[in-house]
Amino acid sequence: MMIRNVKYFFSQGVKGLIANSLMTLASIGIVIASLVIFGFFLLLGMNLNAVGDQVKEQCEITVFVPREMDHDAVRSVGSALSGIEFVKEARLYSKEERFQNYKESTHSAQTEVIETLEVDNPLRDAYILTLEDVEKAKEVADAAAKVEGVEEVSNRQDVINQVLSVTNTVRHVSVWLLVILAMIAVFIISNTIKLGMFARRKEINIMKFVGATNWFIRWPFIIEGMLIGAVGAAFAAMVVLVGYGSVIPGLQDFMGDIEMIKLEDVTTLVTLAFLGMGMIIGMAGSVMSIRKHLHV
Amino acid sequence: MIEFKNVSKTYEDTGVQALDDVSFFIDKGEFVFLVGPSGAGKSTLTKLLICEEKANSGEIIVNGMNLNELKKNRIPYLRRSIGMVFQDFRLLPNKTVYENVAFAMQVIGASRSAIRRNVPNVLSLVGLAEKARMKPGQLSGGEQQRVSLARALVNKPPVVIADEPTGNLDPETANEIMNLLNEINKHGTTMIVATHAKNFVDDMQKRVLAIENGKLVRDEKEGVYGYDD
Repeated sequence: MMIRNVKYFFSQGVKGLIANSLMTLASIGIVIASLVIFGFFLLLGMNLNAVGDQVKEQCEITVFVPREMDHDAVRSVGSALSGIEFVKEARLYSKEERFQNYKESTHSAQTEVIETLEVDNPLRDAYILTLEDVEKAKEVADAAAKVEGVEEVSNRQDVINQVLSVTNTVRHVSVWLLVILAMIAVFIISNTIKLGMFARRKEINIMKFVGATNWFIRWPFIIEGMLIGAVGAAFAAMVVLVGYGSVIPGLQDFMGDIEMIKLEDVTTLVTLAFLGMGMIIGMAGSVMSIRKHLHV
Repeated sequence: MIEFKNVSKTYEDTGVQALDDVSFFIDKGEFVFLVGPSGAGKSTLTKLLICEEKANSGEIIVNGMNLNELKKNRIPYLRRSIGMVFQDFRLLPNKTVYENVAFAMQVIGASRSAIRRNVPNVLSLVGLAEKARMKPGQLSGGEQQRVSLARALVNKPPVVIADEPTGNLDPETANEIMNLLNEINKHGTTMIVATHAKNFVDDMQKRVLAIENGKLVRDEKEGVYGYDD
């Protein structure tokens, strides 16, 4: 393709957008809407994935022993626990230590309650097991439950499972949403392009009988569609990134030590993915219109 | 140059047989009138020549290309070798005379320097050099037809097909256009003129192909129109 032709295609594509500005705006709008909604689910999904990974990594199993158990018995439970396969370390988390942590994390208004409790510590001694392999959490938890003197085993498998199932749902919803929204966008863009073809039917007819190639006739319309997609994608990326940038600090505070994905880590991904998707959507709209209405 | 061998064409959707076993040969540089009543098959013949329609049987050869074997993506190149002039001019109203003619070069990917060279030449050939900046709406019918002729000629096709080129023009203007077509033919362009203009056909003493009900009924060297309308 020669450069002067490319220039011609672009100038014609832009002319088409301007000549048909109302439909162009509608098309750009629907691209923006589709991608913003998709972007919301994309970022939500990515964050849930990250949360899931972090919860998995923090996977420690806490094993409680009965409150009245004496010191030596607790120790022997501890050595039994550290003997379980895949357990890297069994660390004693004594009821005194637990109470101290509890006291520190509790509001000062409740000092009275705490003082009362301190007299007779209601907490149990516990062991925290760190694992050599997080995948084996279930086996280790089962084995720990069978150890003589163990009262309760708590791991965060249930939390992980919950996060995973939400992530999965979000993933499915976002894929289907993208498909449906993209189809609507393709349809509206193809309608816009069709109007452009109608407006230029005289030119198209002349192009045909003076011997313009089919692709020469088609290119301006394809570029028109791609420009609609790209402009819509650029706006959508801006909306999503600005929006994400403004909610993420608050969310991060709320989530505490679980790290959310930072804005700068998704900027390039969102921008490129949106531009790519926008242009594919736009091109699909053009191609649909060309196949249906441009008989060259 | 242009050869029809036993060409028949029936439109599938309507069942109308537009051409029935038509054969003729037009040599390079000839001037041929195509006459016959409305609906006799003149337009179909033109459409077959530029591959807008395909023949059901027979062979058509244009400028060395066998149209039966012509691949779809080669059709534009066939059309570049045939300049088309229509009764209704088919000019773009928002473009100037110059731009209308330049458009035909632009869309086949001609370079800007070639456009700047050829367009003024062909505009002065049809006598419109002065009006290059005007829009078609500011021109008379005869002038508009000159623009469309300039557009047909600007890519230097060996063949020009004019479909009722004087149909919308008053007799005097029609005369000018016919003279121009004759002039261009003398420079070597093969000219095929489908027309109802009896006086020109009778006066100009050119070859006449007459089509009636899809059949070629006359092929005369220095023919006459032969109808009363």
